[in-house]
Amino acid sequence: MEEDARSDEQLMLAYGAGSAAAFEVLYARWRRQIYRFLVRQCASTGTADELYQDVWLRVVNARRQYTVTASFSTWLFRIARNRLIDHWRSESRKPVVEMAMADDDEADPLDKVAAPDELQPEKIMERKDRARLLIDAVEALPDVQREAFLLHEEGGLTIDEIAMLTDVGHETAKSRLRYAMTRLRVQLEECRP
Amino acid sequence: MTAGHDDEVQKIYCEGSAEEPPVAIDRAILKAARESVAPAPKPQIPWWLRFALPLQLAFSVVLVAMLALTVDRNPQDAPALTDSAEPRQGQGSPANEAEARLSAPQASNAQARQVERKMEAAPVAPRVPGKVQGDSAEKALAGDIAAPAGVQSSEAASPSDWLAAIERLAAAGEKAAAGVELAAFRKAYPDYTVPERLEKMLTP
Repeated sequence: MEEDARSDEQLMLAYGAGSAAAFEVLYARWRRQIYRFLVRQCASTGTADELYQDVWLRVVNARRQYTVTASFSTWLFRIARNRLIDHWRSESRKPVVEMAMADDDEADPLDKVAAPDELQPEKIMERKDRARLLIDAVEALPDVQREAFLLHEEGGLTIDEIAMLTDVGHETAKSRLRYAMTRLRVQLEECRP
Repeated sequence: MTAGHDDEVQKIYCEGSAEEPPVAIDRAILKAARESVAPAPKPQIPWWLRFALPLQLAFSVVLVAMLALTVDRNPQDAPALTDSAEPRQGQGSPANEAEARLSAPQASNAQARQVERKMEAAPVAPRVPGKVQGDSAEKALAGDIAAPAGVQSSEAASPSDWLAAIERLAAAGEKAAAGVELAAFRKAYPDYTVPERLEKMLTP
């Protein structure tokens, strides 16, 4: 199938104008990223499935109101994030936005992270296991760091876009991402045979 | 912290990220997206209703054509109706005309009563197949003259009987009524010769 050269924003505008084919291209581009963004932050796959469907249905319903004020990925991940926060609130879980204050003052975030048993170096010998280990490490990250990491890795968002999406300053977003990367890298080094 | 280490983290993360949404959810989302931009379904119309207007037009055309052909093939129908209607209004037998005059508002009540009395007193003229009647009938059949409908009636009196009744009326002293009757007679039979004796009786 030939790649559609149109940008995400153009595709979304085309979908708003009535082109279902444009939505299909857009969906194919972003389905995995959005799903992983949700699945890494939900306790169960079933919940992630439900939220995932809900996010895309919100995109469908918002097709007429869509205007290009930011990149499509920023707009899409904002919808996903808001849906996730709604879910956490309904589950009486503290949303990530409320954890933002203590994040930058962390002296050493690694001190508060307990390495799971699966991360013991002697148990991880193969590359596949390392990948699995990293995924687990991502899921074990503090909420704000995990969110920043996923927005960067899955959504491809820049520091500024992450800052705008999460309503924090540039330095805060940059710090969160840096801490997340450091933690993950340390986890990988510890598991290296 | 180096970019190379970050790249390694990202690479390993991508290798371990194989999760994908279920196919059923994919289908549901794409279906919802297609339906959202699909045009609203048109209301179902029975197949026969789609032909209602053409059928009505065709039926109207056929009806008009049939009426036109019927009138075209029977051109005498309408004039025949007119011919039969006219004598009823303007011409009739003496008795009928007398009745019409009796009911006419412009006739004086006294005169009308006299005429009615005389006409009732006078015996109804029997239908005598005389020469004049036969001539009138023949002329009517030949189309030479338009015979009054009253004369053609089997119960109508012949001109001679009518004149005899007028003469009796004049002899009884009802010259005004006789004059009216004579005028009606002349109108009905303009070619019929009135006896001089009757005209002298009515001359003042």
